[in-house]
Amino acid sequence: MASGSPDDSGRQAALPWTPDVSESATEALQALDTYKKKDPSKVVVRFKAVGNAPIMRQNFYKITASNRFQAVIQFLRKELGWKAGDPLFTYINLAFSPAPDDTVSNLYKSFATEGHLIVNYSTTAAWGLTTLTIRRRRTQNAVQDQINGR
Amino acid sequence: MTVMFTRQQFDEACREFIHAHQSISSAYEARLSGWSWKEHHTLPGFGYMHRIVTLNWRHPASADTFLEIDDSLDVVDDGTTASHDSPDSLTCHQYVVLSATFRVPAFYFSIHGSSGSPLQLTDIMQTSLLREDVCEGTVATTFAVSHPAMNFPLLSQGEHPTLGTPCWYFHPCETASTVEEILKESEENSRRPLSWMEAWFTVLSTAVDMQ
Repeated sequence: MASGSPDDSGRQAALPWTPDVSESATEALQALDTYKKKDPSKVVVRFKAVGNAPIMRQNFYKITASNRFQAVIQFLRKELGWKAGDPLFTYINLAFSPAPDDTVSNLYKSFATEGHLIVNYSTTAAWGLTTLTIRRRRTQNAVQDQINGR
Repeated sequence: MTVMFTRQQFDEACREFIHAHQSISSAYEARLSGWSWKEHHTLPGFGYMHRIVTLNWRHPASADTFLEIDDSLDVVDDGTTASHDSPDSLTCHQYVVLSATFRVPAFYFSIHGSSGSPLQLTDIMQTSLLREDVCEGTVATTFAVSHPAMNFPLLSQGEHPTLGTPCWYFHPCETASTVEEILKESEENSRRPLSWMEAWFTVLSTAVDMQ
């Protein structure tokens, strides 16, 4: 009958939306928070151009390790001014091409050398001629013709 | 300037590669192992590399990609979750053959369900064999996969040069120059056939999930 009295446990229990404040629930929530927290540690990535790929002014960058490699690819495209359709291939240590959803952290732990992760990048389309390739070849041929005095 | 393999060089390069990658010391090493050398049953000079891999169906990209560097990132989701009525167990035969025209290795493959029937191209695109980022923006017909920007198809249908069975393959016209790029950049100055094969697999890994 007393409203606002401190001991309302009887009334509280009747309410279906009362939050469960049992111990295991609190622990579970804390565990979830830890999992969600992104590891803020950063690692150094070193970009190296391959073939005719444009060379950037700055080649060393720091990135949060918990990022997926997709973030590195997107960043590289932006820095080079390369649109989504333009061919861009990335390699780790010239050994393999990482999947976009590999984490930078895992790649760094497995393949970093001398404190940085080497990311080679190429703009040569490996799987067919693009108009870019044809244009480049025409230019090369024209230059060669000039040299040969044609 | 670009390297071209003679039949003998190709045979030697493959054997060296198979031998060098026999032991699996890491998950990374596993990607390049499991190959064996096969010959035509009567004719010499038609040898090739072969391995069998089990594939899964690819799941759509997860949405929890987060980005620290400036830009907001559009999650790659090509939405190809079309249903397929093919079985779950997929066998992929992979081959490395010598392209007679271009004198470089070429990657051929065929994928079968548990009943033995070969997969249609649209189903192949849904397996874990091809890298999702390479399939992005491509258009598939029943006989080829092409990217609008490319003048050559990414994937074509053809006959295995030795077995004569129908396979899918990556057109090798750009292989030599792409591999040469890698080799030139590589600090290891040796141009041994093995280095060439390994560089070739590196380039291949941009399109194929070597598992």
